[in-house]
Amino acid sequence: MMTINDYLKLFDEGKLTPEELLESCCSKIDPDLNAFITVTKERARNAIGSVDGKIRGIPVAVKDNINVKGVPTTCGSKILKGFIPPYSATVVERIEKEGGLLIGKTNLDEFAMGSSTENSHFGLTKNPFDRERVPGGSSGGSAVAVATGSAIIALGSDTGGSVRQPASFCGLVGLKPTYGRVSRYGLVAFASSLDQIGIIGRNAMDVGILLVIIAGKDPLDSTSVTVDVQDYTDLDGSLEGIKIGIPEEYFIDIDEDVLEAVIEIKEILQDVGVSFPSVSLPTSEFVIPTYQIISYAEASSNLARYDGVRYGLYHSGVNFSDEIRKTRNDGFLSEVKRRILVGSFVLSSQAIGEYYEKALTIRSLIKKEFKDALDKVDYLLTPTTPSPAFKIGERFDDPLKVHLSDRLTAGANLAGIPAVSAPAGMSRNNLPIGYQLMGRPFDEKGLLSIVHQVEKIKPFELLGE
Amino acid sequence: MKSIDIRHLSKLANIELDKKEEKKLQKDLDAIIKHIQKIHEVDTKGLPETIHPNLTSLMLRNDKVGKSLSRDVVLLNKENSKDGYFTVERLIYDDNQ
Repeated sequence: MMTINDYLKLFDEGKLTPEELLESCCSKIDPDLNAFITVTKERARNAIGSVDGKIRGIPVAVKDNINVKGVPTTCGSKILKGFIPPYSATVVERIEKEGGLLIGKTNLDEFAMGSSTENSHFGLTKNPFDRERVPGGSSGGSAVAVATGSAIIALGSDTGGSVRQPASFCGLVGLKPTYGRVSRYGLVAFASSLDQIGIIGRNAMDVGILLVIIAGKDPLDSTSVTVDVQDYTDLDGSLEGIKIGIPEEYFIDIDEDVLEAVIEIKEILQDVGVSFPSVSLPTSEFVIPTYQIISYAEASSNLARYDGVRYGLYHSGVNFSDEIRKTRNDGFLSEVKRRILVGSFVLSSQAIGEYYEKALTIRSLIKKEFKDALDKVDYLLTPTTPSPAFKIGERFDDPLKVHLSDRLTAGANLAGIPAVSAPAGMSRNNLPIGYQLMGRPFDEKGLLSIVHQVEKIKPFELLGE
Repeated sequence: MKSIDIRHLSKLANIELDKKEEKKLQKDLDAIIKHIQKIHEVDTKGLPETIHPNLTSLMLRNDKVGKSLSRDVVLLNKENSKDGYFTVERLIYDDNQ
């Protein structure tokens, strides 16, 4: 499987030029899949050769809730109509400084709220493995861009699984780093205590290469941390003696094909000397309602800024309040409205104690359970989602089905720990299946090492390779 | 559990809903609130609140003016500005007028 380093080698040997690679990526953009909201081919072409960095000439796609100076940021929403950010996100600056070519902004569920990339003002994105199915979400556009080879690697954002779940549905590696590992400056806020920028790539090495570039303290994001950035490309350390827990609660009501594929990963790891003690995370069944309350509450507060006054869509009204209310009604789709309304409810004076504050105490419990489990074992292995990609329309606009595919991923966000999804195999109807590994804070290197070594034993065939 | 007052909430959230959407969202919101009642099954007596995953202390910085965007750049994203200010409709008004 080609890694970013292999492309760099081909450049150095004169066997491939960055122009040719960019052209090849652009030619694979399929309008029917609708992975991109904006393609920035000219910007990418103009950047070729300008810097000689760690990813010189490598096309990178960016989820359209991360700012790139001079390129519209839409967040998949009508409310940001015409908005052109006057600054780039820190992650984007760091990628461009290392020679990465920004090939385009990818489609997402509006403001990253969803798990299917169906809730976008710019139309839905389809899964390249089966066009009648969703690619996952909310970073569905980024996953499809990488899966089809329209980008070599992509950035997403993960609030409850939005990087890992689409990576799983599209046969890719998706990493949600530890909260604070990567600067969120320039990422449009959804739920600030859960949001983290993540990476979707074709293999663990590529993800590691990009993480080395984007990780680290940023004075512009006070929640980013000073913990040392490790060499995330040094992934060959022995796995012998490592302990991985299998939390039984994460194996309830799981599709049979998914179960079999994850068990196979367990057996591969057993063969290289990993042991599997049993662990328990009994609060797992409360992860989704807790996640809903906290993320909706934070969203209702964060999205209050969209008022039509300083940027974006604007509707006139008879007075100030009227123009804001009209702008927000027309600018947001139903899913976002639902979350803002529920968020406003759980934060309202009559409900805050019963819902929001209660959820914060359950978050403490969830966090403690993860800590206790990860004191006993080094990592946790679970499926990424209960089933492979679902059909387009199957869960659309249904407030109770929208989180069905988040129940195994949102816990890592509540606890702030790193987690990765990687290919476990294919289902009987030929859809990718993902396994998830969660680890201790700042052990991204360990997570990627396991994925890297599984890849060597069980290579995953990408589309078109 | 009583039905939640969607009109009040839409005012709090500054979203004007039309009748059809109000009806649909009322149903959705009641379903969501019923679903999240599950949290009351957990005994959390004595547990602290976690508002942030790794907040150990408040983060401080030097009280110095840093780099920021110029007024002209900030106003570029809006047509309705005047004399370097954003313009909006009347803020102070009589509801009965």
